[in-house]
Amino acid sequence: MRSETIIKVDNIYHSYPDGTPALNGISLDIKRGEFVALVGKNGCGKSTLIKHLNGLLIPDKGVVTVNGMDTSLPSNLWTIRQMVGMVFQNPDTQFVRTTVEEDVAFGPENLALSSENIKKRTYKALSDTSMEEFRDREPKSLSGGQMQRAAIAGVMAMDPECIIFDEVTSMLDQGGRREILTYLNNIRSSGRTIIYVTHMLEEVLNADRIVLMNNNEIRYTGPPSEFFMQEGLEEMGIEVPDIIQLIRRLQQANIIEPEFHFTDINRLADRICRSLSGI
Amino acid sequence: MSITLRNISYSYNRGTSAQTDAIENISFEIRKGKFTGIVGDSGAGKSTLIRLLNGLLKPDSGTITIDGMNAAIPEVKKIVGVLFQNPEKQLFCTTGYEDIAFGPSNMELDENEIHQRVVEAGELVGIDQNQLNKSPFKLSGGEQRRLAMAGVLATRPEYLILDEPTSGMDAEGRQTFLKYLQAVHSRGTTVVMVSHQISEILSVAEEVILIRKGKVGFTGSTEDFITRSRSHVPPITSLMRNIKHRGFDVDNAVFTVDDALSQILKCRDNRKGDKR
Repeated sequence: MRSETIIKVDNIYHSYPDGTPALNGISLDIKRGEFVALVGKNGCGKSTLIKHLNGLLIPDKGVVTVNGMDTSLPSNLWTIRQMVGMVFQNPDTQFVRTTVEEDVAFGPENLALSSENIKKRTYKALSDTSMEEFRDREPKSLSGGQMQRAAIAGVMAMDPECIIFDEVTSMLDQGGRREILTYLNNIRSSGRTIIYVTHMLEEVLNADRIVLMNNNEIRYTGPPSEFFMQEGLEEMGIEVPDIIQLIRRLQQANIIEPEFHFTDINRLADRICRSLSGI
Repeated sequence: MSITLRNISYSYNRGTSAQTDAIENISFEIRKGKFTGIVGDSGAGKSTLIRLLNGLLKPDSGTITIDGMNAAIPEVKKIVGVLFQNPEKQLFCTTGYEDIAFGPSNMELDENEIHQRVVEAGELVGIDQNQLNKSPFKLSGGEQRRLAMAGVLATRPEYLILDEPTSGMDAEGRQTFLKYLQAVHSRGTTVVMVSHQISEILSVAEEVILIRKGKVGFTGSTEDFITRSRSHVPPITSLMRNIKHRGFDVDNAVFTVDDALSQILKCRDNRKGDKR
């Protein structure tokens, strides 16, 4: 039987070529099928960490294993990169071919599959991301959200067990962001493991786990419901939504109870008004 | 003096089966000296509007005048500076200094004047001499974006138009950027900022224009927007409206955490006082 852990990061260290430390003793287990959000300030080490998860970077010290395979052994890399796919921030720099369909097929073609199989995978990936109608379009002619979906289709066509999303919505506007988040949920329900890097907390309130990095170390790992209870989040570059900040202050002022969790504006207004009426 | 739009319409692929109406018969005025925020959902027509404002697109009908001149004439480009989305992608020189100097050196200014403008623009956005001598690609994301803004400022535009200038930045970078932008405005530059983050616009703008499905949904002062707009108000404002609607005496024209808290506390204290 396969173990429950898909990626194991065991006390890794990494420095940039000029000697600046980027990762300072990171340990993290990613469970199969888990949706993990990785958050933290620009420059906290998030991007360096995720590049270690599919062997794009190798730790200076410590070990990363994917399904038990050590990323530092070159002979493992081919398999590891098929297991762990990656979607990057800039949607427009990830394309190599002239149409969306050809581009999505690029990955499977390199797996030496039969042409039948390549076609099947390509069509499945295009349909999973609702990109069928754009299959003949040139990637550069798409909107930001569509481009990112095409990039996701390209990764899906490789049928990876785990997909890492590196700030994929940061260049998109609200509409594009909503598009991507919808497809993220589809991928999640397909049972794949998701590692989602962002600094927009409202995107990951439904994650299984939030991992917060600061100064090249992990500062918090736990469920979203407890995440905002921590002190000093703002200093670590985490933008606490206004409404959550107000709730915290109302809790300090004993207007609402400390256990109150935000679900919607109407319920919050109701709770405040009951308190104002002395109930 | 202002940017004035009268009955502007614009469609992409006009006259073909793929025609998309982006802007439909829009009229409004952006007053000189003000800090105006343009808000709206994605696809509402905000980016099209920016391209129309600086003459990249020509309206299908209607007129845009800037200080009385037609927006399409080259003269206008000298007084309107535009910072496009993700402007750091447009940096290309070997030092930050050269990048900022690129605009002014195309204006046939003498070297002294160019130097003065580069240093001044750098200072305005918090990029010091030491950083100016570095490669722009060695700067942080937030610094790169401010450097790009300095490049626009060095041409000394009277109107500065920014398209989603803080997208992709973290909270700290965003606050720093807005602080410098406000400093630019307080020196007399008219600022027009497009954003889909309404609370960001409300915290810096004096006037708000809401674009909804290619039409103007609201235009007026920030205060008016918070009291009157039916859509696009920040969550805190919705909450306060909801509380007021239930018959509690709170000011609902607020959108910051501090103001909302003090309104709720004041209401509590008043009610306690009444009971006594």
